[in-house]
Amino acid sequence: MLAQRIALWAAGAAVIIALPLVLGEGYHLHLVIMATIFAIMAAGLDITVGFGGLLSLGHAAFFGIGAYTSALLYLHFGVPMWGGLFGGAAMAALAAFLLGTLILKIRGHRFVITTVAFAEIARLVAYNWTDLTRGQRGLPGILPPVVHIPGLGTIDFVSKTAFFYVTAVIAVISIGVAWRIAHSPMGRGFVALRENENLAESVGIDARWYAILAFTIGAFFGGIGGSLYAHYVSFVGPDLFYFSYTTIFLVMVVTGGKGTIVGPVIGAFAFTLLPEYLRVANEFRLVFFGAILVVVMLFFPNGLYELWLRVKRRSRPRPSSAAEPTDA
Amino acid sequence: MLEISDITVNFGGLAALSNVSFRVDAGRIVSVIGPNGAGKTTLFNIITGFIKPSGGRVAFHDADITGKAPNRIARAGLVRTFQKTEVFPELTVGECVRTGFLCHNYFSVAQILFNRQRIRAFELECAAKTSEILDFIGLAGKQDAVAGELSYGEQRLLEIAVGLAAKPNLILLDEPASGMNSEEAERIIDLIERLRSLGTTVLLVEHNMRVVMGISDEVIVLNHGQMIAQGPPQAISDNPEVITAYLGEGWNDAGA
Amino acid sequence: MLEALPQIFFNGVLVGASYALIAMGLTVIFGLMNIANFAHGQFYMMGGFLAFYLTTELSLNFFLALPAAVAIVVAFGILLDRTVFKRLRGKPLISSVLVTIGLAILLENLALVLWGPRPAAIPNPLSPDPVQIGPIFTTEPRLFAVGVTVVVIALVHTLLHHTRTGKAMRATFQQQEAAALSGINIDRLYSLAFGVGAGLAALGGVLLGAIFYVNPSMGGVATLKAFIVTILGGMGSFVGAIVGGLLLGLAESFGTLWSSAYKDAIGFVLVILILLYRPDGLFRKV
Repeated sequence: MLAQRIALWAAGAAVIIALPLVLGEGYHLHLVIMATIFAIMAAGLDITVGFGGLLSLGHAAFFGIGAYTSALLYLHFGVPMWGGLFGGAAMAALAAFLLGTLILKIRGHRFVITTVAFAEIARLVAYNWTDLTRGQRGLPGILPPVVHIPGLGTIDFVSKTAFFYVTAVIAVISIGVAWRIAHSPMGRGFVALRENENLAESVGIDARWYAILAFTIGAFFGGIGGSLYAHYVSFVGPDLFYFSYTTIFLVMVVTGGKGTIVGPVIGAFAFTLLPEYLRVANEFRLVFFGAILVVVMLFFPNGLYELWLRVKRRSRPRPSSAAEPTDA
Repeated sequence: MLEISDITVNFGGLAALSNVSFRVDAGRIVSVIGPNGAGKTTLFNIITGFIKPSGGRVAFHDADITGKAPNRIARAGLVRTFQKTEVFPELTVGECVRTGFLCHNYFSVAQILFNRQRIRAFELECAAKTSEILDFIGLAGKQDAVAGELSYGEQRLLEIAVGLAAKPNLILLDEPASGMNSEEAERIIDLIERLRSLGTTVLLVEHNMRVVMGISDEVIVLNHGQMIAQGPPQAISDNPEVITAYLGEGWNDAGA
Repeated sequence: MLEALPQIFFNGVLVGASYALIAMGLTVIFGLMNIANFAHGQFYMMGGFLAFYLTTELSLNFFLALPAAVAIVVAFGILLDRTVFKRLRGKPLISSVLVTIGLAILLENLALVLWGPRPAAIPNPLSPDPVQIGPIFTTEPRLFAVGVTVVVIALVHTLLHHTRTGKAMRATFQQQEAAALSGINIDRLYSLAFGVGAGLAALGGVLLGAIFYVNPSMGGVATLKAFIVTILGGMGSFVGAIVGGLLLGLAESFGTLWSSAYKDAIGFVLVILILLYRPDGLFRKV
């Protein structure tokens, strides 16, 4: 078992190292970087939506808050991306914590609409508080970091290859953390909240507190994603708060397979690459995207990950004799 | 151990409970009975914090718990089951029970990320205790069954198992024998006795008179939200007011 | 400044009435069938565009194009219920959210392909010249819109409370199983309710398209506002949709006194506040 895991990690590392060399500095690497950033966000959102069962339709808010915080820290205080990551994540987490504390007495559809409202308010603030954000002109010039290593020279992370490596490392750590949390006693608390809140309360689980935690943790990763995005694209604008971003994040989580962490990561890659491959359809690109979304959600509500597991199960030799305990 | 004083609940003009008062002493088994609609489950909801009373006081271990959040009351050692069986449908039996251990064990994000030893030790402890509880309750071997796919009787047992994982001093069972045949009801009686031998105090709501008369140290009778009688089982069954209440309402004599 | 108040009030009622109209359909779908239809605003958009198409390409009279457009959307709504929404009944909220978001993307971009992104006003014989009623300035299309909205709301109320179908509908929504057992064809009723809901939104689109303009992305904002009104007023309550719509319209209108940039934010803040103190909205189920 251990040998298998080491082999898997080694293979993964090899893929990550080789990828930019194979793809070159162009568009394809760009897509992979975007997919990796979104994978971090999807893993975090899975904790909120998949494990906690909280349908947050305002996740773009945390993406935007992370991005703007990181941008402002850089532009006004010269804080490089490394600090910006923490700043952005912390700010997003703080916003989520405050909102959650205020709102999470209520859950269900009402919570959903509140998250939508929150993202919209954030957008309007970004759009109108021009002294801080320059409104719709946005904030340009957010450069990726430049690192001087004594003896080895300088790495400028404006290079896609270098940026990809950094993003990949951050992603592995982030997704790993998300996984750990999800499969910890705290994660069990989230699931209890999702599965049966009354029962959870009756055995001492403070549903409201766990909901706030699940919401905040998801936002934290959203902030990391936003910060990475800001330094990669070098520009932030109010459009980061658009509902379309929230939609994409949610789509990645659910079609990937919510409540698995791995599923949403797969979903992130699938749905970053999908619209690109749909480009062949030209102007009908998004029409097809919408149609695919409808079909996938209607017929594969548990996402692609479950589909893959099902396929895997069928191709494995059936276990002998002993009756399955859950023969319905 | 548990003291109910003058509990009154009004739902929009209708008095669901009026001035209900009684005590449950440690180590006893007390049953609450009464015709349908008498307010028994409402009483449970009040005690466990799911509903706030309009008036009165609930004290547990001499501490006032009136109107506190259910999770706090549970952590104080007071756990309940529900009239309509509640489980975590998509989790396995083992996972359900493990959830109960969260009652007295909270780990922060920092601990989860940096104190792997402690978490691992906790998980091992959980695994051992889960087996113990499942053996005790009679669901041994069903650890990997999905909760939502269990039979009705098994789900009821599972619900109690989850409650036991929360280490209650007092457990409130809401109609534990409902929907069971006489054999299953016997097992419930046995289970409740074994709970008492563990040191757990039991307060139950029950319609099944065989169960009630069989194990209760004391019986409390509610009718129309009021307490109309209180005493040992034999006294209650001879009490004319109690008989009228039941006969007048069309008493469901399941299992007796 | 006080002289502006009647005008602000009237503007608020006008906008609020259209919010109410669009939200009425959603409150039925969301509150009673528990399906979050994020494509609801697209019905509004479709109504506007169909009316535009009928009046410009087919040279149909505006007053004929209006009911025609609404009727087409009603039919489309029924079709959609039979194919897509039927499968969503009983499923968790997140399924309906994502399926309808997909639908919204599909419809919005289809409209974009068919009509292009530029806004277009629906030609109509009503005069755009200002009409003065007391201290209030308005235009014929606006008065027409308010009038039609009031009539339609009254009509819907009558249908719901005084016809057999309407009563059957309310019964079904309150107690699905009992209704099914008493022989009511639930599927047909739900389809009808869905269609009518879509039609109401479409009507809003036509009326507003005649006053202002239509463009393919108008659906998104409409959906958002409709949800806010629905939750404000209490899901499943028609009266709630009306009161909620008026409340939102008035709040936004009076909000312009303070800041016109943030007027949209007012609705959102209002929603959050109401949800905090009255989670069930202002009214409860019908």
